[in-house]
Amino acid sequence: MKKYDTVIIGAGNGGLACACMLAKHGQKVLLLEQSHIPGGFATSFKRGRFEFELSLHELCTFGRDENHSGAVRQLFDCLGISDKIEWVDIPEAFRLITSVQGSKFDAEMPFGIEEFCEKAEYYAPGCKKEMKRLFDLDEEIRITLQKLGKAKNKAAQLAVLLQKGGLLHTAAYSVDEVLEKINMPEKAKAIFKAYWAYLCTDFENLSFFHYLSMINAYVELKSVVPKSRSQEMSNCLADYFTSHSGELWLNSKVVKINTENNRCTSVVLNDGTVIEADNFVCNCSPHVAYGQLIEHEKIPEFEIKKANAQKFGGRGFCVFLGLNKSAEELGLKNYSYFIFPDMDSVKQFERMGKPETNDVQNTVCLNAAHPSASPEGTCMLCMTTLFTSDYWSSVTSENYFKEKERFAEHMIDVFEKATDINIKDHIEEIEIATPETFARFTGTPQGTIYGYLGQKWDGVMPRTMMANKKDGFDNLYFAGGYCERMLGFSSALASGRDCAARICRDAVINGRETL
Amino acid sequence: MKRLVIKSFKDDLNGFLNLVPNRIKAINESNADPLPKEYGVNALALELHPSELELTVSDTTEITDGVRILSLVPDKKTVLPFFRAGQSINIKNESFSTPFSILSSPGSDKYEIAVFSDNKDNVSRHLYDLQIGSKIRTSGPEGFFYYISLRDKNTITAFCDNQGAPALISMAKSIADKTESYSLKIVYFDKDSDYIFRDILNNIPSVSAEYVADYSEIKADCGKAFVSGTESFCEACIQRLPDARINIVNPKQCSGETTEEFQCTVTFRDKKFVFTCKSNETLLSAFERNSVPSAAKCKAGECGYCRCKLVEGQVETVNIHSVDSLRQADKKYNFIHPCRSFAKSDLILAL
Repeated sequence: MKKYDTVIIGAGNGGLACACMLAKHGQKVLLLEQSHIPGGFATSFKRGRFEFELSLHELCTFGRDENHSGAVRQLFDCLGISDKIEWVDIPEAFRLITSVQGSKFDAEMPFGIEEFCEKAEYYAPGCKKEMKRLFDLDEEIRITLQKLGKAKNKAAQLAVLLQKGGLLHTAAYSVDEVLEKINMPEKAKAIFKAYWAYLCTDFENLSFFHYLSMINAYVELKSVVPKSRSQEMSNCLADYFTSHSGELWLNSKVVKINTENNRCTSVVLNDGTVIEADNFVCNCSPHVAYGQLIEHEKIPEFEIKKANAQKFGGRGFCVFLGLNKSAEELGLKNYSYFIFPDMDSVKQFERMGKPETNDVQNTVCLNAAHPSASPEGTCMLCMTTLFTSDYWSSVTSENYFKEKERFAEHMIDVFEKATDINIKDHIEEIEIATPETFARFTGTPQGTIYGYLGQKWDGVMPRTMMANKKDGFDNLYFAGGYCERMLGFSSALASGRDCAARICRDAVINGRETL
Repeated sequence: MKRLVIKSFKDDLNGFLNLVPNRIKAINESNADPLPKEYGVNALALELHPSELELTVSDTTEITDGVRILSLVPDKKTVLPFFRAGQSINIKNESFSTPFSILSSPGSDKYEIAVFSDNKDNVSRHLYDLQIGSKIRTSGPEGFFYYISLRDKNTITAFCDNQGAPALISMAKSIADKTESYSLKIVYFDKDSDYIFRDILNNIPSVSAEYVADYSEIKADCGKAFVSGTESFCEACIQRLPDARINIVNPKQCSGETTEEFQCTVTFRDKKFVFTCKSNETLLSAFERNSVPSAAKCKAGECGYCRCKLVEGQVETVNIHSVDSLRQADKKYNFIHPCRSFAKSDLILAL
């Protein structure tokens, strides 16, 4: 008899969430992690007096309270861990610094749909009604989706679709295609578009539905971060898992998945250990699973073609700064700064391919939400951008350190210029994470941190509609940011839960388990 | 709310109905070539941070009684990873490991390290007697003790003792060969005035070194000082330069007399190790003696690789100054760094 029902490769957000849900359902699960610590990108690190968050800017869909919550709180509630994590509320939606029609545009936006629309009206008179209409549309689409899920057959589904029409009319279109039909001043459109770097797909390609649901999740539900950085979430999930009979093996890299007759049979670890199981979950990209772990000849052709058709999303680049003055002293009033040269996402996406032209950044000052996150009289800034090309694979090892420092300095310059705040004279600690850093610690191809790019044909909607279709191995599943819900903490966590649900469903179908 | 029609009812509906067929079509039109096994970014990451290197001793020079400099080179196929002057490599021997500062320049085609026969750790003893041609296993370059132009001032004052000198020699060499551009003033402390590395330092152009034999000479200068040396030297410096950046060389894994012995149980994967640990040794040295696998690197509480969970029992953690990389969330969930922890009772630990 096999020792494990399910073996999960990778203890990132998706792998941890899946592991916890399966353990809750009584499965015997082994979670394998190549690193010495669980969490994947959900972690932190210390330099001198500072503990830096690696990747979480703000967690959406946890929600502001029990009555205004989304997928993440529902997952944590289901595991009974929502209250075990200390949460910090993010004070405001964002500060946008960009240019609109050739002039500088600087807007501070609050959470709450009403407040958000009111403030947008202040910056762009005459936009409130249309802005509100967009948020209403999201609500309508959500209700339609819930009804669709309950509809018993195709005719009933069609009836639901036709009833309101918001989903039907917008589902196939990009953000730009829909916004063209919305009569709003350019400044209001800039405000609406401010979250674009969170998905890093240009608005000619990005699904309107996907973007709208994301911006609504932030603005309506507000966002939070764990007080002790995202490692607190990772530790909490790992703790739940191991205290529900789950086995977590760290420093355990999987080098091979064995298969037979379209089924995975076992995994092989770097020290040669072979582990058999009924089901296998990859909390890594299909590119890694199919390119590095499974023999090419054994893989269903459609899965190979799918991976070849997909493109990698943004490759991460972050500058972490520990500053020797408080946020207040420096004038860092805001938590999240979106800085774009202009709001032309197609142009910016292109320019983000090269360091000379990448001027896009999202910078977070954790102390603005959590003043004692660093010692008194200090604060932390984390600047993030993405590269939309494989530029960093052309760097040589001799130039690597100089290149990363040069670009980090450029990011600091961009921030100083946009905010008129002196940063450079106050740097006590600095760390720079490049695509190489993300590749080194997680093995993600080319240092990609944003999963597969949301190409027009490959957006969240068609991916989700195909998610239950089994095109690959009968007992191989995927969880995390490369899946149908796409990138981001809340998507990856929710995808882990979806994955666990599919495994339980298939176990019932195959007669291995009863409901 | 008025319906928002994007193109026309028919086009919008068809667009919706075609989402899945269009995706299937795009996938079917793609190629079925094998997916890449390697990626440029990942290959460079591995080149800079190999999980393990096999190096050969190409030269060994006794610079004074009890101190030898070993030159280490890779085989012809391997590129020696580039590093930041001031970093270390961790050298392994069976289940034991010890970090050594690299004293050569990042531009050099070899890693040079200094081995002190007085250091009683298993790896130093093993290395000291190695002949030319011997092979050793090391980590890639590690550690955060190096100059960063965005952070540090143009002139750095750095303090060292004999054991801490190699890291500063590498920094001086990196300036001499123009890998780095800043000016470095070294204050070399040795109470016996032996200054083992004085000749090497004096042969590096453009480095200014001052040789002192009294702690009163360790004085605050402008900006943050760099301090490299043994634990006791670092502690003495920190009293005078509280915010210095420190590089602890050869961190102590044992101190004082054994007063008590405790039973320690460690679980790793599906294995269980049960052994006795002494009250005066770090848990990590007990791990090494008992062949418990550990990813440890710096042994000074800084790198965090030995992180493990304290399931039951009490430990005392002795951190050196501010060097404590244990995360807040790790403290909350009872994780410890065995390299800086001493048993206070019988223990159960999970790796």
